[in-house]
Amino acid sequence: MFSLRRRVLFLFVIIATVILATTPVVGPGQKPMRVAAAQTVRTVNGGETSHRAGVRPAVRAPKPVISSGNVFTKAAPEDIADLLAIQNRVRKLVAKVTPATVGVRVGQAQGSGVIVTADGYVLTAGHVSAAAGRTVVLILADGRRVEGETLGSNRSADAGLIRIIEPGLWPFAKMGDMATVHTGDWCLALGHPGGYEEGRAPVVRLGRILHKRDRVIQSDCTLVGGDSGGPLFDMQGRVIGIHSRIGKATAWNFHVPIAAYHNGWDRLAAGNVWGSRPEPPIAVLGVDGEDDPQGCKITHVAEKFPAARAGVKVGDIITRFNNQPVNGIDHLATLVQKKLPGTKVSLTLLRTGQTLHLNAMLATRRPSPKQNDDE
Amino acid sequence: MTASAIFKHSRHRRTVGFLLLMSVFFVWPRTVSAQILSPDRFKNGALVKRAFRQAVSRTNRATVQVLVDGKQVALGAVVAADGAILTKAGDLTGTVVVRLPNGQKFPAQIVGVHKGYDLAMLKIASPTPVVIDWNKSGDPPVGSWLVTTGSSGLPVAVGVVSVKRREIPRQPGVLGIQIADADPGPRITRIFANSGAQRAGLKVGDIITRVAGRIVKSSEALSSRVRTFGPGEILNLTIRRGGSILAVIARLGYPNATFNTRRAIQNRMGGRLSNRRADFPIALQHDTVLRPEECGGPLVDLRGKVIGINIARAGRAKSYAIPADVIVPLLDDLRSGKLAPQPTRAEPSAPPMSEVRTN
Repeated sequence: MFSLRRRVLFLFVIIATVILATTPVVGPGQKPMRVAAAQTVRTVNGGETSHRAGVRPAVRAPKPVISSGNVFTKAAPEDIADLLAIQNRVRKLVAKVTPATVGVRVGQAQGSGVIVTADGYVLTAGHVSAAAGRTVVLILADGRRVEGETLGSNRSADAGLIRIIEPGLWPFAKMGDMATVHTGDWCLALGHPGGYEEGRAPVVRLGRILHKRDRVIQSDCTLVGGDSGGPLFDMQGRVIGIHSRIGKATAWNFHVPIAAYHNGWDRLAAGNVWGSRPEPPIAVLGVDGEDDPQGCKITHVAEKFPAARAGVKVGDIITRFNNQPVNGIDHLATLVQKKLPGTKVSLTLLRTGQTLHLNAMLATRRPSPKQNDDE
Repeated sequence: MTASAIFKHSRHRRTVGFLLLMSVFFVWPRTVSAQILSPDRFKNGALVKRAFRQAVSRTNRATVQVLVDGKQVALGAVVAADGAILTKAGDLTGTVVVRLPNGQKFPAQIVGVHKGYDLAMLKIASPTPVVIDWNKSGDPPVGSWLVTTGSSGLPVAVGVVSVKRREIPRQPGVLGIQIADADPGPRITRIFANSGAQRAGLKVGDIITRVAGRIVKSSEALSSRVRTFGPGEILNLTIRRGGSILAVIARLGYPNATFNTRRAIQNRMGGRLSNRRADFPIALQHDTVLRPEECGGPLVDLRGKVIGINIARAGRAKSYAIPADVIVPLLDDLRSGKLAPQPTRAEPSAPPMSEVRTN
């Protein structure tokens, strides 16, 4: 029906489309996230490959083109193919690491943990295991309950160790190594948020390492009460962190780095409890003053502190703090210290006969250095 | 963050039931070092979201915004070409307007409500040619990507399946009061902050004589009566205060949100939660961070198939979706008028207290 010319044209278009769709366009490529140029990198399967600039896949590809470069070393996944690679890995890891993840019941408190040896050592948070020598109940992913005993804890690091008392060979996950953990790494958090729920397997969250320091790892895997002590895994299924604390924003999720368990292992296993829990933050306004019949007369305003920022001046008399009448310098100090750093407060003050209203945001008072008895 | 800048502030309040351990961390922003991952690379950062373009590229033309009083209260999914839109029912309190991806707005009629799953079918007077593509295979396994579509080329948010499908049981509604037996009915001895009782204007010392039409003579009777209703439901109460008899309207809350427990505080860290966030016979739990007004619309997999409808932001670490295979059989009834909504009671914002009689 169609002329020969039309058929040739049609065929040409098909072939051209296929060629365009499957030939990678070599462009400047995506810079790998880890900047060292000629570094060899372990790939997924344990082999080695050199970094090279990622090759950008063809524009307008109708099907996902296999992008080159290991997605786990990229700054960000580029396309569906990259996302599929992450998804496939995560699905496999979930199956592998779920059996090692446990719920932990210590008296009336609940947290999570992870079994890291076949004979039943369980990592958890220091504030979960707390004291040594307590009997606890561990709940395996399949719902089985086993008895455990708390061993030591490092309270500065918030690292704790538990051991399963019942004999057996337990499913476990390997402990990872901080040297292989980098900002931007994809990571998997498991745990029992809200406490163990009958019939609910450990809850999976995927995220990335946002920040890595000696004493803490931050990720955007959202955690909540009950998750404490649960495992953070890398993309090889190794434990690289233990859930410790959260902050206001959903990206504020903090984990104890696995190094704390490597470094402190002998002491933890021996049942030592050491280190001091960090103190809660103390608020500061940044003034000195003296008692005055009308409130607190300011004698010094510390530079760059909240009062200075708010415009308080020497000679001002603070009469009200958050609308509460102020009875002098000690009273003002007490009122300030009841608040948390970051709180906005309103100050009413008298300056040369005029009443002023100022707002200040309290800052954090630096605590005095403490003797830290840690690794 | 040096050791001296890291603080742990744990609250030692005993809660009802288990104490769920997690420390709360207040960080002064200035102490966070510059070596944090740049936000566009976060799991929900702009760079990562761009990778999902292809997954949302058709469904975004079938995703709408649902507005009440000019504000978005939900997203919606176009399920048929004649202006049929599926969304979350719970927050449709008022005149509903739908904004299509092309920016056009249409008033919407609620033609069906399924209370069990908190779904509503809307109808607008405009054709909606691009319709969502339901997933026909089973649930994606735990760890699979899930993409919440909006009307733009990028996802609203992304996450993974956290828990395979299960029942999310109903929770009993609570007023947020402590009561003691008295005559002729229980007397309020304490009112919890952030509770429906507080918002309704109830006061310590009030004696409650009727709950939702039934006389209650004891604390036990009041508790049993209230428990039969769910969080979010609105109850008529009759109380005695001083010499007067008053009618009070109060909205029930969730047990673990009302009492300012550690759990409630932590679940509020990271955003508001949906009003109706429990009591779903089947739901899929995922870790996508969503706002309540970003629920009600499609949730797709990497193929762009709609595997469910987001139904609730339920906690700091969880969102729920109703799976496709559960919803599809309900669509006919939702559209046919069989599940037409009952006329709604007026929502009290400042709950009225009317003098009933004084004797």
